[in-house]
Amino acid sequence: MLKKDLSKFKNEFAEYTELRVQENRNINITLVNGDVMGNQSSVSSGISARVNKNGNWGFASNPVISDIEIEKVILSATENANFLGTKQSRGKVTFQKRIHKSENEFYAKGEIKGQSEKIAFLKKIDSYISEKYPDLLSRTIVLSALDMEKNLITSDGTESYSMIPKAHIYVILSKQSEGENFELYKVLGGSGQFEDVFKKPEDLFADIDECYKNLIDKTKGVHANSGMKDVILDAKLAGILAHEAIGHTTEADFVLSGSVAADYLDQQVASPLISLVDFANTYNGETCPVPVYVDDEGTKAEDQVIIDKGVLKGYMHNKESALQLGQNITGNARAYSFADEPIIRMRNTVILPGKSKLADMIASIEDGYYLVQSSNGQADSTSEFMFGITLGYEIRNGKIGKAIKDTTISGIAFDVLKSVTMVSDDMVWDCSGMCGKKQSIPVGMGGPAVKCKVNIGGR
Amino acid sequence: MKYKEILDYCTAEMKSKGADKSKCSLNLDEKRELYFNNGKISMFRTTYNAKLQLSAIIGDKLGTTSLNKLDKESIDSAVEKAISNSNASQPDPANDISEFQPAEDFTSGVMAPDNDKMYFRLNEFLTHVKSAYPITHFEEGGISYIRSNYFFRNSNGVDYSHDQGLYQFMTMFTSKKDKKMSSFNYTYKLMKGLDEKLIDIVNLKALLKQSAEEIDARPFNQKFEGDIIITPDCMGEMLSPMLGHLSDYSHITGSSLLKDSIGKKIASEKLTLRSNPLSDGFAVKSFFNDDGYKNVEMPIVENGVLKTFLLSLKGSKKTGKERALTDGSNMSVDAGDIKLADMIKNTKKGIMLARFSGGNPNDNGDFSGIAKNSYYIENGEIKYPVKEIMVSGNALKMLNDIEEISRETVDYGFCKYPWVKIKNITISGK
Repeated sequence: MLKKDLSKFKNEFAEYTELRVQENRNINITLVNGDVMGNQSSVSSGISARVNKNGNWGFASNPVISDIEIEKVILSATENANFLGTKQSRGKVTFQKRIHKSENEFYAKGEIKGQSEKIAFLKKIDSYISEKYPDLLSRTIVLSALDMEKNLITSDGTESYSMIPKAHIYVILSKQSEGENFELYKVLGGSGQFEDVFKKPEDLFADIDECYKNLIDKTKGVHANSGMKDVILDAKLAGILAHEAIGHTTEADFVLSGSVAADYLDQQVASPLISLVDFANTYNGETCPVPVYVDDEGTKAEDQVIIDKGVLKGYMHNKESALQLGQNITGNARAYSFADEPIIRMRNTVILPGKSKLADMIASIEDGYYLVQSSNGQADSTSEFMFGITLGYEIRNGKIGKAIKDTTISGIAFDVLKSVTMVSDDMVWDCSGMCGKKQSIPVGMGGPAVKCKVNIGGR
Repeated sequence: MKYKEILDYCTAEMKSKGADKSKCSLNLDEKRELYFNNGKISMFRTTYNAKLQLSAIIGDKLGTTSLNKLDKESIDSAVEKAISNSNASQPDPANDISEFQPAEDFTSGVMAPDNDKMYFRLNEFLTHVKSAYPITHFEEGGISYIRSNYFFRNSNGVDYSHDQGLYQFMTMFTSKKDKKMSSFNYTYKLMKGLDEKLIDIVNLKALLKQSAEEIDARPFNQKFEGDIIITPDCMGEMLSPMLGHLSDYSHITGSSLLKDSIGKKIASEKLTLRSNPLSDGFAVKSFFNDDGYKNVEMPIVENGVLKTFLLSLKGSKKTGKERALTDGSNMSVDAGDIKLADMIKNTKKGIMLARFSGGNPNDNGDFSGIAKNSYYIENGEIKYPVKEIMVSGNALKMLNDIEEISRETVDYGFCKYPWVKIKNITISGK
């Protein structure tokens, strides 16, 4: 536990100041064809302070956590702001504040398992795969777990403590067929420590069976016909659509630098079927995968409606962007490590469910694709996006057809969202990915299946 | 304890607790960063960090841990963790450490930062681009000084250190006029000093010109097999899939399509790809690798022939193939014999690809994605900037389809690439 009373350092704050003590704990274990290829645990912790003086930011950090070093770091951050002050003045600024005192930790309730028990857990999964599917070229199983523990105090008056964990197991299967290599992966797990997320290996076998079946489908797959197509983006893809395609364009730092969303506030940017929200910590009474109660600037985090029934309603802010745009702070300033400054990040970004049934959506397409799983995704300030597709199927006359080989889809997000004609009534969350904007950070994303038009690569 | 003494202590402690073999590394980082957003310098940052990594091998079982604390209590705890992780693991004879080599200490780069000059260069850059590129927004970026002091030790007596300092510049930008806008773009460079104006580094002026022109980018409604001229800015990404087929993972899983290709032609004879870890021509150097072996300069592909895989000690022992003599750092592609202008003149139909946004290539090397920040070329002339264009091909096959390599190259401080023209790429519009 990193929990520490930081209130005694308030007297050291001469200017607007944030003081954070943070520890990130990682566990990474990799099995390739049953052999332990990686077996590592790591801890990185330290202190940082950020000071604003006459509009100039000073930041400093140190890995040594002690009263003396905390005082030094506050002083260094102040001196760094002063250094910029000798070169330029940006004018005195007064940020909005929404102070909050909170403690939220999500430690596993039971006994914490050791590295050997975790390796044994993965070995059971590997044995299941190797015995049941001997025809595979290779099998890779990766456990990746992260605990982020933060203690924050600000000159505004916020005091917060949080411990937010996540744990995932990646199962990667590959197979050769007719001289070609095929690969498919499945990500299992979610928010919580390993002990809460993974009870017994057998719980994962059904998902592994499905992954193998989908891989076999891929070995018989065909190239997609390239061009603009009607598609169903499965609920597992909706999150990446919400995050990559729309979310990034509505982060206020991108808005300030000219993102296309800057021109569309209060305008119809999507079908009325589309509502998109960046939830702070709770959705429908349930804790979101990456709950943020207080951001790393000390702002109490609140939900931010980005699109309401197709109309662009707001952006995600830190204190500086809210000041510059004259809008309300939202609590989106987050930092990955103790040595990182908070920047505007999404939290739990979702497209809200609609009323259609997935089966009806598929039945409504004569010639198109059902796209189920993506690899990576990228966005642009123009809202042009692309996702790699690692699992998808043809739809012919309303029925699922052959699997397709790996491909890429792209589109202009706001155009794609205007083409939405059906939204399913279910909802899938995901927090396996890390968003890579300047610093890598855990994000939650989710949504329902969506029927729309996108440009698909292929032949 | 001094830094080398910490590694001595860890090595001795791991041995006393049962480690048959061990290796330790300690990296001390100091960073100073002047950061800008929206064209204005906004933050000065100083950070310090340490990373102590300990690996213990007991009965062929490997356990590793890392931490960023250097007090005795934390180090003792980390030693216990490395030992317990090792005991928790499974035996694998491929877990090993490098054999004894004479101790060496290396130093490179600039050893102290100049805060005032960092500010001067960055402010000079932002002042210049504000007037010279009025429709271009400089979203974020900055100039940093990074000092890295790295120590390596293993229980066979390998004892290396490398003290290195360098500057880094990065800028990200987008152009916008009224409601017409470009894609974002970015560039960066590692530098030995701050003598050069930042506007003059790498391919930045060309990228800024392209960004401003891209606000009038057009889609096209056609699909054809044509040429792509890959710019140096995009070259690393286009080589990455091939390098993946030389790595540990693809060889251990058996999925490498190049697993039997040493000494064989895998690319056009025009292609020579080198790793230059020791070269004075680069801002960064890598004297030894993570296994504790000294790096050597060597070609990876020479005149189209594959010369080496990029296998680590473990990758080598797992596969029975030779360990790489280089860690693959500081890549360069040898310049060709044609001017870029002539390369464009020789292009009948295709695009100049400056950035690629695509899905990860599949195991067979097939890729598809969006051509970003790119121009359409027809009958030897750059016609107009394009948007919403997809390109697709095969990352391995295209190495054999290299037609021309430019005389001109761009140096990024950690890699150096020319422009490369490739035929038979599928280019499709909306």
